Amino acid sequence: MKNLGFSTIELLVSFVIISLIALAMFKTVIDLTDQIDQYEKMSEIAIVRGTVLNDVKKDLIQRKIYGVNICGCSCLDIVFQDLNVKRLIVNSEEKTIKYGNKAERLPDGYYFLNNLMNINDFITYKSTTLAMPVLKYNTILNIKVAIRNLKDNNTYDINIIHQYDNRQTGYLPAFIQNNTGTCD
Amino acid sequence: MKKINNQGFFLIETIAIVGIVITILVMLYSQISITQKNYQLNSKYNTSETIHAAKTIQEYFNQEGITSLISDLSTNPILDITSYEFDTTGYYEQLIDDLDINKIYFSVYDISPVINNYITYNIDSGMLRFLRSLRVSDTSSSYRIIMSFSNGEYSSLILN
Repeated sequence: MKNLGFSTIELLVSFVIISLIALAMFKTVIDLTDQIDQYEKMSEIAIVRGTVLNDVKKDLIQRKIYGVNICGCSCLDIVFQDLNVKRLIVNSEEKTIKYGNKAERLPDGYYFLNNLMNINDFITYKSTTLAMPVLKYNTILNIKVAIRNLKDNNTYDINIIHQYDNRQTGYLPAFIQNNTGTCD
Repeated sequence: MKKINNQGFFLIETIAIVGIVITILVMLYSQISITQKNYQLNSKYNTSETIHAAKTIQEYFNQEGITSLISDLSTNPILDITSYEFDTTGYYEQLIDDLDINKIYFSVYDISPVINNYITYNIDSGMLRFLRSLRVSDTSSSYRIIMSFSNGEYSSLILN
C-alpha cells in the first residue's frame, strides 16, 4: 500500500487555516468579553444614577423642600421642612457621590464632568421661580451632576428636577451661599 | 490486497470544515451583534431618570389639566406638544428645558396607527423604534406621554 501522508505544503496550509480560524475565534471571544464588561458597567452606572435620583426625589416629595445651602465645592445641603438636612456631595477624585449616609462609586470608565463656570465644582444647580397662579407649582429646582463615559463620551447625568410652590415653603430662596463653605 | 486511494480528499475536506466553521462564526457574530444592539437600545428606554422626568411632566399635567389635549386627539392619534402653550409664564418651557427633553408627545394609548403612518406624524427613526418596543396590553388605559431626551434616551408613561 502506498502511504502518501501529508506533505510539508499541506501541513503548512492547514496550519495557516487553523491559525486564521483560531485568531478569528480569539478575537470574537475578546470582543465578547469587552461587551460583557461594557454591559456590566452600563448596569452599574444605571444603578448609581437610579439610586441617587430615587433617594433625593423621594425625600423632596415626602419631606418637602425648605431650601438648599451651598456647603462648598460640589456640596449642597438640602434642608427639608422638618428642618432635617441631607448633604449631597461629589468627590471627583474618589469618583463617589454621597447623599446622606449613602455613597455610590462610579464604575471604571466613567467620570464626573466639572462645571465649566467653576472647574472645582461638579454639581450645577439653579432654581427658577415664575409668576404662576396661586396653588400651582411656581419653582423648578434643578440639581445636575454631569457624568460622562471615557470611551464614547456619552452622557449619563444625574438630573434632579423638582417642582414646588415656594409660596408654601416660607419663601426661602434656594442656594444660599454658606459662609463656611465657598467654592473657589 | 485492496488498494486504498487516499488522494483528492484533503482539500475538499478542509474547505468543507473551514466553510462550516466560518458559517458558525458569522452566525454567532451576527446574533451577538443583534443582541448587543438591542441591549444598547433597551438600556436607553425607560431609565429611572426618564421615568422621573415623565412623572414630573405628569404632575404638571395634573395641575394644568389636559382636557384640551384630549379633544385635540380626536383628529390626530399623536400630538407633538414640545412647544404647546399650557401657560403664559414660560413655566412649561422651562420645565422642558430643565428636563433636557428633546421631543414630547401626547398620544392615544394604542399607538399602532402612529406606527403604521409614522411619516404622516413626523416620527423619526429613533422614536419609531421606541414606539415599536411599547406593549399595548392594558385596554383600560387611555393616553400616553412619550418623550425623547437630548442624551438619546426615551420614556413613556401611561395616563388613565
